Amino acid sequence: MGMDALTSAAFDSLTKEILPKLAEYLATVAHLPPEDREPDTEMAVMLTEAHELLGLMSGWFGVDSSVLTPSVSEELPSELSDADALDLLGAEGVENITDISLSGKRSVAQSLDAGDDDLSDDDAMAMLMENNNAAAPVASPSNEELSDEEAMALMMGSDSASSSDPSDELSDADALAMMAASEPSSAPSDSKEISDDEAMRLLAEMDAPPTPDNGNMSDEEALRLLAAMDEPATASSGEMNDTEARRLLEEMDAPVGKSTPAAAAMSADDEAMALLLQMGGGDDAPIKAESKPAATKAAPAVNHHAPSNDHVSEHHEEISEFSQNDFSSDPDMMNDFLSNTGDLMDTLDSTVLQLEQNPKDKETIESIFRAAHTLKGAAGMFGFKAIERVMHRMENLFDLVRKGTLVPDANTIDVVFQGLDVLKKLLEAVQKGKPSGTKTVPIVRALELAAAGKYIKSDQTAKSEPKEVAAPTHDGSGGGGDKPGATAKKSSDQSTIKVDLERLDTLVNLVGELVIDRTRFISIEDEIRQSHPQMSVSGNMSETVQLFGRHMNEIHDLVMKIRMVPIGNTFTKFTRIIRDLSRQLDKDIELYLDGEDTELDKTLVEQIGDPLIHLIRNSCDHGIELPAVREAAGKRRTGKIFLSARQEGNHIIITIEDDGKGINAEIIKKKAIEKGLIPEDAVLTTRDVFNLIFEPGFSTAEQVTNVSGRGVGMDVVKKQISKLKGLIDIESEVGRGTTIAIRLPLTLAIMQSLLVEASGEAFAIPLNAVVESVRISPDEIQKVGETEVIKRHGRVLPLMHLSDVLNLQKKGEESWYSQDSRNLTHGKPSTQIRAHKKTDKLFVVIVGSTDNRYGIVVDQLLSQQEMVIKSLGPIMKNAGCVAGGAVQGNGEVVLVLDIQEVMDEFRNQRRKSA
Amino acid sequence: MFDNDDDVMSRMAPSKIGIFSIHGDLDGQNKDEFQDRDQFIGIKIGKEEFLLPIANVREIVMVAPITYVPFSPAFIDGVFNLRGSIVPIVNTRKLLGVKRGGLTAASRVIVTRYDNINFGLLVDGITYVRNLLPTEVEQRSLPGKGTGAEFITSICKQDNYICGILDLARILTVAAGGVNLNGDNAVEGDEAA
Repeated sequence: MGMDALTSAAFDSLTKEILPKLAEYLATVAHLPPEDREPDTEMAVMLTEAHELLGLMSGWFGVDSSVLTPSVSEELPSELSDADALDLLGAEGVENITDISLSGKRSVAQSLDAGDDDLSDDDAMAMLMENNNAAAPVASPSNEELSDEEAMALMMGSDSASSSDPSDELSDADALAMMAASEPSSAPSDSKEISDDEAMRLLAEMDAPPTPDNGNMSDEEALRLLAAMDEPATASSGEMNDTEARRLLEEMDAPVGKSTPAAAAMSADDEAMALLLQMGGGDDAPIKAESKPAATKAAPAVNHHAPSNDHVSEHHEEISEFSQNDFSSDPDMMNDFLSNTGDLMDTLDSTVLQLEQNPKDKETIESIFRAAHTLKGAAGMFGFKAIERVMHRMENLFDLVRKGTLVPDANTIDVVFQGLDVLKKLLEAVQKGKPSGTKTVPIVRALELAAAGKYIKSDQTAKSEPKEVAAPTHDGSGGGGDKPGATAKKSSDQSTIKVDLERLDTLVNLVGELVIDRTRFISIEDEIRQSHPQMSVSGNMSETVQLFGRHMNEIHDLVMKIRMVPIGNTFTKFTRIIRDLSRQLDKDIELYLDGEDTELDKTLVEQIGDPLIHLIRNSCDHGIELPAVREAAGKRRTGKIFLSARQEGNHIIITIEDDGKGINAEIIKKKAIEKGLIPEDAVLTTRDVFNLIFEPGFSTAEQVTNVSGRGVGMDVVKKQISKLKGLIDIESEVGRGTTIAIRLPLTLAIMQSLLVEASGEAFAIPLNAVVESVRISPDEIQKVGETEVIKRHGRVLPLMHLSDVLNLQKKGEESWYSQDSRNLTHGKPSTQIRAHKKTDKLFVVIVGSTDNRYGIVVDQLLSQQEMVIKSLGPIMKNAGCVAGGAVQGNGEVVLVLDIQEVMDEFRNQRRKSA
Repeated sequence: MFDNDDDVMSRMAPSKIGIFSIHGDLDGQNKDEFQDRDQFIGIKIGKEEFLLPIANVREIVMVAPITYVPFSPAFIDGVFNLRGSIVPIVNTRKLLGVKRGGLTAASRVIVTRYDNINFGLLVDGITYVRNLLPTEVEQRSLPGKGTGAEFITSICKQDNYICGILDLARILTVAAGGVNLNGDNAVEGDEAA
């Protein structure tokens, strides 16, 4: 009885402050038109407080949660608003406490099933006030078992523990049982509505049966409650708890048992008293006194009758996308949420595709259902109501599929995919932290209708003929109808860990530093060996340094591989895109995948997605012909698109190949001339002509074919790929198809560059800008006005001196520390190199594009290196001509030049001096 | 504008110097002494001492090889490698208009972080950490028109000890804005030195 003081304090706070306020609020809300029923902040605060208290109490009553839930009278109460609470709570009066475990749980599940029909209106609050439809047939008792652990697992938003469907369902039931444990405590207050409301919400959360629509807020509420109840089953339930609970249960029972409010009130009191006496624990006078108002207050609530209770609700309100709570404001939790949901969405995408192939596969359905359920739970916990709402409808739909009530056809899958698209938008909004304004009502309706076996007519869904979309295996290694599932399974089998990218980058940096240290160790070791060859320690030192070096190399290689991920995830989503497109365009298209295991930098994998989508869309839109056209041309009705990735040296080649109609070079050339992109007499190779497609302003959509474009031109694709330091190439044969090859570096950060020296400073020139590097004698330089030029392959190239363009002479004046510091930084004194330059030939690096070439005179060509380019930071962003910096093996920073800017700078200086 | 008094150290009040000085006794007497004190790190630029709010100091490192960056503001010496990340270095002598000097054994780079931006300050030495009461810090900009004055927006007055406090926000603004101290644009360079 140690918790008496606490208990009564909590009760006081709950009953005298929070609940009355809530009651008041609910009362006002009830009078508002449905559109205005947005929960406001005040409400939220109170709810949170109430939940905290409930959570607290659930700790006390924890063990009773199972005790409190034994079986329910079979005849379901007709007053809906009370129904569930009564079912749960009233049980105590009817049955003995001894049978606490399974039967009790069953009965909960049972009452849930039964209650579910009652709950089919969309808004929990509205439901409370309007919905009074009764007497749903009691569903047969569910035979599943459940455990507290499962409930816990659910609370944590993880479905790892809930490996089978029963657990999903019943862990909810268990949650309800827990709820029930805390429920009584709110009962004696004079705001009966709230406790009912809570119970309703919890019930509404149940994913059980054929009513696709449940409460909007229900899931969130329930989850919040669940989250609040950290201690579902503490052993510390005293005598008092039982007494208390039972008494309260009796109160709750009253309105059901009796038909008139007055009688109910009376009987509640009487029974409660009787029970209290019976228990011998009736030591709580104030609460006893409060039981009367509670019971009487309950009566009005049950008097509201809402006559209609359709399976598909007629109207839905738009709800706000998310509300802040403790979880969603914690950035770490948010990151977890986002990455988990991202995975879940991928799983859903691929498994739903599988479901279409094989609508009766139990395993697929289960995995969809689990993913949907987890996603819903997590969204609810974080307060993302819109996601939760859509997800809930989807879960209901999948539940029907799972139970075999509904066999999904292409239309169902369409709706599901639309739902997933909406979810993706919502998740994006969550990621950006601001609502996207995505409307959930249409998709909620569509999902509900789909669950009822009806479909909303729309462009996409109007076609009743399901299109066969397969992704057959290519070369035995790729694609295949079951491929997405296989990928999903594989990824879950691999034991992986998610690591913050920033930490990883720090690790990479530190390993880089260690590599530098190793070099220093080697030189120290060298020194020791030479100066003290006779000492045994020098031998040991050499050995250790060698070993250290070898380990270092291994670590370095390993760390560089960490960032690499297989491209497969990106590929998998194209299966979905092809499916949608083929339905939209009335074409039969098969996608063949190859080389999904090819690994490349994570950033690259993320950023290559959009250009690839565009290219694949193009292939579907413009490449593959309509089945009839294909037949007429003597091809198979079904068009093929091959998507493959492979590694070639330090590059990844991604190819998109279709067997469509190809690109007519003549048409492109004609259009380009019309547009004035090329002169009329231009002589172009076919390849050059195809490259015109990438020119800005050359829209393939309107001019080459009659299918509308997607707003993103090929020039954007090209730009994106160049941004990733990649190249894109088109080959095409009219009537045979088109092949687009994308060549990407393995990682974004590493860049091949040519290290040169000017005025004692080293600079790196990106190798992709370098045409060639030559040595010329000073005689070869001619002067055109002020500008020095050389002739190279019959072309005249302007020459620039890197030290002049970069103004390196003033470097010495800029340093306010002595020149020693300069010599400290760079081994070779610059004077020596200058002398070198005068007597000998000049080094010229020729850079630029075909028609815009320059020669850059440097003092020395140092080496060709792979460099990890890093930003110089915001302070240096104004420094021209520099693209970034790279840390060299000796720990020094070398600047990577932006050749375009260097050329611009040179032109500017010419103009100024002219 | 700053007098190059060699005897800076002698003006300090010894009792108030030091990281580990305890203010007030442990019996709860002299509670006033436990007022919030801000910590500042003393740096030497030339022969002058300045203070830097310690909250913005990330670490103090030896002078590493500095890579010159063309077209950067004149008072930025270049960039250096701090455990794999590239950090710009501000030459404090030039920033404050103190005359040239060489690197010595006492020279250090103070890596500061302001507004999530890391940058290093190349200084001629580190002196002490000072604990200053808010009352001992006076917001006031120096009247001088020359270079440097604009980077000192408050002054420390502790007994006889008077010292300028560097304003990192100002330094950062000027550095990021690419404004040259001598009014030249960065491309033209700085011959006024």
